[in-house]
Amino acid sequence: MIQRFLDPQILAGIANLELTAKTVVDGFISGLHRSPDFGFSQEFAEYRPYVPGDDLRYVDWNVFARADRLYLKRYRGETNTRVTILLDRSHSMSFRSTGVSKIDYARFLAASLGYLAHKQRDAIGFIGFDDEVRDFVEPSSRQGTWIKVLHSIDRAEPGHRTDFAKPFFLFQDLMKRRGIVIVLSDFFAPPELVIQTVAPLRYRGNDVILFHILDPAEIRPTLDGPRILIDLETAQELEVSPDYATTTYRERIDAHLADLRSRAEGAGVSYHLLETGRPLDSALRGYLTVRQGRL
Amino acid sequence: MGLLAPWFLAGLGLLGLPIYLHLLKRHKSTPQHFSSLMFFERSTSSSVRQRRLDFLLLLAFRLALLALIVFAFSRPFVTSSAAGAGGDKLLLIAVDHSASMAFNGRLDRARTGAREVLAAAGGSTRAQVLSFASKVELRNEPTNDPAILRAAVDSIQISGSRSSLGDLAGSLRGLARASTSPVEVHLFSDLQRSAMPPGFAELRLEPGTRLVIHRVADADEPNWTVESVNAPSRVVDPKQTRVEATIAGFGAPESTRAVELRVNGKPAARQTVTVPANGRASVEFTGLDVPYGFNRCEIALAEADQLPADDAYLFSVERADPEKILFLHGPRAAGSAVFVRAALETAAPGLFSLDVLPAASAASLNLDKYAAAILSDTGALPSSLETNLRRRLEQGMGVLIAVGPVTTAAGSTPAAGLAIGGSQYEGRTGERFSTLGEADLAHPALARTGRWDGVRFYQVFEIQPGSAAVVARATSGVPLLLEARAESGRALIFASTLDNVANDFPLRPAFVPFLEQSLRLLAGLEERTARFAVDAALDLRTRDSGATVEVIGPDGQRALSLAESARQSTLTLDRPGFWEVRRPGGRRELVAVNIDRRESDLTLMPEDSAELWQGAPLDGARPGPASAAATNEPRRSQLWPWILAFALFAGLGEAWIASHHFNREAL
Repeated sequence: MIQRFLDPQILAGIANLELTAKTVVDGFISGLHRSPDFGFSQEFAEYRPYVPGDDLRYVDWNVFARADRLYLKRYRGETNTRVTILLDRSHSMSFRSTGVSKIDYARFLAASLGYLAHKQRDAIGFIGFDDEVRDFVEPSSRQGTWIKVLHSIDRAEPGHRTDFAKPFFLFQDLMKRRGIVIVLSDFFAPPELVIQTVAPLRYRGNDVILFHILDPAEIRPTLDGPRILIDLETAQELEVSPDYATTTYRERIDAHLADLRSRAEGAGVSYHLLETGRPLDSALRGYLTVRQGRL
Repeated sequence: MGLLAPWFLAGLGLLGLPIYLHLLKRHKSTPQHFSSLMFFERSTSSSVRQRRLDFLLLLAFRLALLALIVFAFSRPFVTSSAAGAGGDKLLLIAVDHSASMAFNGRLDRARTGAREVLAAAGGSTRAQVLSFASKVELRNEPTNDPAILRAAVDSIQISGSRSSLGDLAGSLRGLARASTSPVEVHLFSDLQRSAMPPGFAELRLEPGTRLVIHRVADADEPNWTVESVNAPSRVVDPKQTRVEATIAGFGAPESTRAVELRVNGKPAARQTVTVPANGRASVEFTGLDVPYGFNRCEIALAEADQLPADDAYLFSVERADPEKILFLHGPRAAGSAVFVRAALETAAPGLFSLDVLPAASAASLNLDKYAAAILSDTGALPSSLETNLRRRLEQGMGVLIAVGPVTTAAGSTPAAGLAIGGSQYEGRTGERFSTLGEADLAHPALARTGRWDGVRFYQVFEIQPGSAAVVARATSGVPLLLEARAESGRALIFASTLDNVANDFPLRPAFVPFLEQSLRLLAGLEERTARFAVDAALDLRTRDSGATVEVIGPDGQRALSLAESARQSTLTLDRPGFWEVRRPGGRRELVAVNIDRRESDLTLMPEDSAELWQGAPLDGARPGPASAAATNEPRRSQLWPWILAFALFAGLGEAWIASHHFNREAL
């Protein structure tokens, strides 16, 4: 029964985005996620040998006294974290073959993740972008911010073409503190560009999760005959034969997905491919499973 | 450019049909939006664009096909001015060489005029020389070589044919249609009135043809001629033979002319006759003392005039003895000889000599001297006579067999051996007699007898035809006249008697020609025409097709090659003179050929008719500017054959594109 309410088709019938998020999260989630930060007053996690440059405040002197060696004592904190949701609202996200469009699916997912974070009293922020930063909500755990985020997600309509480099350059200025960065996009860009753009966030201590949202027809397109296809972002026209769509195209997009996944893992970025035809719970389960494994 | 039937252009409204259908059937290729084309390549097959191109090409071909057909129906033409063509014209020199052109050096004047025209045209104009009489002869291919053209003119000689301007006009029309450049015709002729066709419209020329008439005769000239001769072709008794001739004077005053009868080139008799002004007179020669065999005779004017070709009329006469006919009769048919003899003397006096004998006493008779035999109800013949008769029959002798009760009692006909089944006796009372029923009236024996009107048959004997052909039947259906062939000879079997017992045939007029024609056929004396006009066709294969026929021309040379002798069915007698024909079986004929006497009338074509034909006054030279305008009608060239050819290509293109297009659609 719960599964049924997580179906994107059914969620699309719910006008209120917050209600949609609650339906998803309350029906699915129970539990907490943990902060990736380590610090004092927190549950002990491990010892690690001291290396020059480490803060001497974390040295366990008792161990030093007994073993004459310097060890740092590390703790697993349970503090609230900052979750920033980056939603690609470029025009290509408006594509829909059946069911919901990619942008709607992304909004449902963003709202659900935001609600999940808000419920844990995490600071939640939102950035909408295409080739520019179109919307920005500073991460905060206040109730008003969550409302702002919801409104921003709700207003996110497909705009122009995607340009990862330019808005992500700004993200680095906007996100001064570490946290979780969730990127929802169809990633129609070269994988090396995507990872090259996202990787600095990871280097600055953020946990970066890439939700790659694609329509099933984008992965396994079927044409009943030669068609002229128009690019949603560039308006470029191209004639495509069914043979090409079922053979070469699939090979190329599979290679694209594999390349993106490989590069993301190589950069320490969590990558999840979501098809708009799949229920949201599976996406959330995959996300939380990965998160749990990382903590 | 113009249209002969512009109302057909209304059919262009049909163009809306393919446009309407194409709009309805147009393939709607709705573009489909896709999120990104980064994984597609432009090099993929462009079938959609190809189909769109096919679609437009198909529509274009269909529109072109319809438009071309409609346009062709409107019969478009382009006009081109003959004068505008300038020096690019074909000069036709037409020289009359009919028999009348021999009068007073007319042909020499024509040839001189033709040379002058060719010289004036210079070497840059293509020209072609043709001569004409009853038919047109092209003397050379179109050329601008003066030597060839001069030689072509010099080669024209007088022929014995009559002039036909209608045939000339027809040939000129054909040449003009075949020519790609305007045609200018220079006609050199005496323009006889007798050469004009029955309708003046037959003289029309193709538009754009310019006609310049050079008349080589100034005025009507008087001329006398032996117009016709009436003489027998076979003479048996020379002293009783009469030859009649008609002397005509065309455009001539009353004149006294001496007329000679010449036999084999030697004068045989001479008379003087007064020919009235522009009239005719007859002259008769009694007695034609000619030697045995074929004789070349002519009636000629003793004093030749300026057209000597028609001053003599040739005819051939064969001197021969009467053909011996053997008449054998049975014991009850002796009276039939009276009817037969009377009929032969009436129809062809002196032609046949009848030997009448009872069949029973002719057992040892020599049959070789007889050309034919008549067996009048002889019954069964003595065996030696029967054997000889069959032998002679196979050698070519003909036999007329009349069947009566005696022959019927014998059961079969003599010589021919046809079985006789009995007889149909109708009786003389009442209306129960038979008459002639179905008959082949083209058969030589019946050709001149009509339908045997009034002839009644009271008794017809039933002969089984076997292999014999039935020529005629009685109204009762019984064969009445049969023909049986035996190698070279033939037998006619008459299923009744030759007296007035079993029928009243001998008492009727049809009996005389029937008997004469039958005996001519059986004796090989079929009448053939021995006199022709020039250009007449001589039938070489009336019968005995497949055998060789030899023809010796007036110059003593063979007129036919060996192959032609075996195959050719007719021969055109193209020269006046005596032609000797040697037919199969040793039969010879001597055919006299004379020029057509219409050539003797030198009355000229009315000047207004000639001017109307030329389109300008006759001044003996080129027509003036006004006449040139009249003759240089715009030349219309029909375009519809070309348009239909284009339509054909459009149709083929449409079919190919449609096939290509729908194959793509099917995919």
